[in-house]
This record gives sequence, C-alpha cells and structure tokens, in this order.
Amino acid sequence: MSDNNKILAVLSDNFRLLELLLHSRGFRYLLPAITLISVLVANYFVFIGVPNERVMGAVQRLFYFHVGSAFSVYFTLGVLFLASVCFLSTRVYLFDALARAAGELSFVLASAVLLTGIVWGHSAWNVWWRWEPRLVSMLILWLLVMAYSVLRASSRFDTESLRGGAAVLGIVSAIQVPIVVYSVKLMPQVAQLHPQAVSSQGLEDSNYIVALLLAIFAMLIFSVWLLVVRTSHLLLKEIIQD
Amino acid sequence: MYFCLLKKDWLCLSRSPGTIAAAFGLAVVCTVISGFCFRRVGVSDFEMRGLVPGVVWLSFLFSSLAILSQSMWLERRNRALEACLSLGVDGGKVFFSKLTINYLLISILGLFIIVASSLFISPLEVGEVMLLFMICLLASGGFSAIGTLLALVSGAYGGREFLLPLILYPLIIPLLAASIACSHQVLSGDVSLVNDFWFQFIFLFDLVFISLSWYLSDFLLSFERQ
Repeated sequence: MSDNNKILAVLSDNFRLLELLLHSRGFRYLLPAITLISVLVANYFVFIGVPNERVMGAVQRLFYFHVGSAFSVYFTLGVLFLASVCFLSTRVYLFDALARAAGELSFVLASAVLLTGIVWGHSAWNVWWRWEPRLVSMLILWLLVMAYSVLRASSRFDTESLRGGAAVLGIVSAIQVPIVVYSVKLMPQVAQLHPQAVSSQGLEDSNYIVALLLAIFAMLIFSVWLLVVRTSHLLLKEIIQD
Repeated sequence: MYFCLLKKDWLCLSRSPGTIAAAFGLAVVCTVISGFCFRRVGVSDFEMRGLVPGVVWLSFLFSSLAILSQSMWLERRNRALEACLSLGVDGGKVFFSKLTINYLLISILGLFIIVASSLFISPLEVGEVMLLFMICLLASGGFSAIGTLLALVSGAYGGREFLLPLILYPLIIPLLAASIACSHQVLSGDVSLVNDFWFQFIFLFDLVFISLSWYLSDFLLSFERQ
C-alpha cells in the first residue's frame, strides 16, 4: 500500500470513529443535559435574575437573545468554512453533512438576530430599520447564508457535484464575511444608534453582564447541540439511501 | 492549450448571438425604465446626475447575468464539459478561458450601459465616460471571476435562472458598493482615482477573488470528472 493510501486509510478510520462518537452516549445524553441546564439557567437570569431596564423596560430582555444569536452565527459560519475546506480536501461525507448543518443553522440564527434586532430597535429607537453598518453587514450575511441554504435545497438528491458546489459557495461566503464587515464600516455613515461595544455603552450593573455571558454561552452550546443533531440526521439519511 | 480553449469558447459565443442580443437588450431596457421611473416622480436633471452610478451598476448586474448563466449552460449541454475534462485538459485552464471570454463581453456590456445612461439618464462628458469605463474594466474582473465560478456551481441544476442571481448577488455587494462609490466620485469631479481607497479596494477584491475562484474551480471541476 502506498504512503498516500496508508494516510487515507488512517484518516478514514478516524472519521468513522468520529461518526460513531456522534451516536455515543456522551453526545446522546451529556450534551443535551448540559444544553438544557445552560438554557434554563440563562433564561432564569434573563427573565427573573435581572431587573427591568430603566428606559426600555421588559423589551430590553430581547438583547440577550439577540447578542447570543449573533455570536452563534459567527461560530456556525466558522464551522461552515472549516467543514467545507475539509470536504474539498478529503471528500469525506461527514464534513459535507457538518457544513450543510452549519449553513442551515447559521441561516436560522441570522434570521433570529435580524428579527429580535428589528423588534428591539423599533421599541428603543422608533424605527424598524436603519442603514447602519452593523445592521447592513448582518443583512448581507443573512443573504449569503440564505443563498447557501437555497443551493442545498435546489436538488432533491445530494450528488457529488452539488456537494462540491456547496463547499465552494461555503468557502467563498465565509471569506466574504470579514470583507463585508470591514467595507460596510467605511460606507457613508448615518448617525449610529446601534451600540458599538457592550463595555463602553451600558451594562454597568454586574447582573446584566452575568446574564449576557450566560445567554451567550447557552446559545453557543445550544448551537453545538443542534449541529450534532442535524449532522447525525444527515449521516443516518445517507446510510439509509446507500 | 489555453488559446485553443479560448478559440473554442469564442466560437461557442459567436454561435449564440441570441444571448448577446438578450444581454444588450436587457441593459437598454433597465436603463430606459430607470430613467422613465425617476423622471415620472419629478426628479430634476441635477438629481438625475447623482443617480447615474446606481442605475449603471444596477443595469450592469441584471444584464450580465444573461452572459454568465449561458456560458456554463453551453458547456454542460451534451456533457461537453465532462468530455473535455476526460481528455486530460486542465480544469484551471478551462475555467480561465471561460473567465476571459466572460470578462471581455461583460466589459463591453459595461461600456454600452455607460453610453446608454449618458443618453437616457444624464449627459456625461467623454472624459467621465472613459473614467467610468476604467472602473467598469476593473470591477468586471472580480465580478466575472465569482460569476463564472458560481455559474459552474448553479449550471448543473434545473432552475439555474433563479439560482445564479440568488447566490451571486450577495457575494458581490462589497464590489458593487465600491464601484458605485468610485463612480460617484468621478461624477463629482474628483478624477484622482488611483489614490482613492475604494479604487484600491476594487483592485484588491479582484486580486483575492480571481485567485480564489481559479483555485477552487479546479476542485469543482474534479467532481465533474467523476
């Protein structure tokens, strides 16, 4: 057996191990348990632990879901990029399943960011939408992941060409994200209403900061759990179809 | 080999005059309708001049789609692309020759749209037309690269007409914004483009995405060989 074939055989065994891991008890019971506890604790802090915000009242609590979703969007986009690169390099179906799961999840999370932002923004600033850099960059990001999801849904059966094309689109979209965020900031500015950074514009009370950190952690771990579930589902679907 | 492929693509193009006519016709239609709509709501001549960059690039986006979607469709008809690749032709050269033809055609289309805008939207001086064409030449590079790559992705599936714009347009928003900013600057009287940030941004965008598209096309075409 040549050296290249030996390397591929070892990698293939590792990927089979990884596939087994997704169906192991650790992932089947431990991860959902951690996710449930994190979400419950975060929700307790968000709805009961912190008082109503002085100016915006109860609507301000959307902020915790909004920021948590935004962090999760960038996390899932990173997973999409890495999984797409790995799939193009190795052609192992696990990475394609992971990329597809990450793409779909990032679309859902980006929609959540936009919707919570719109509702909170209307309550806080009396406008449904403003062409601000942060809002525009999230909107463009949403369009990018929507395009990926549409491509994946465009064919009933996942052929090798579709997987390769989706991986290419995933890589190009993920590379586009920092370019979009950077270039949008340089466009003609309207007076910015969106908070620039948590540390410089509010959340001086430690209760708010704790609630925010818990919300971000809960959303991230929830995203990881959803990724694992969806990837397992796609792997099982592939096995059945084969 | 590259020049043989270029000759092949040129011959394919010359045998599809309908596509070229559709692209140029769509460019005129977009420009005329934009001019009509804005004039109808009472936009003044001075304000129309400010709308020229937006109208030019909007017409450019819609009309160049006809060229991009058709380019890969011709390759996939009768599995011509698979046959070409199975002969051992380098995938990168196939992609680059397609990119070159698309770039040439889209650049000519851009000049046509600028002239049409000068006629139907707001009169432009010859110097302004030339500067806008220079911006168009630069922006067409990155646009053609991403467009050809995504035409390759979308061309394999039914419904490519709606799929290509859906996956292409979000990706070229930064390029579009930079092109409009540069065009606006030219029409405002600032002709020192080389030192301008947005002009350099277009150049870097082209550099990054032409290289990336060329590199990724090889992976994409390897799936076609299977």
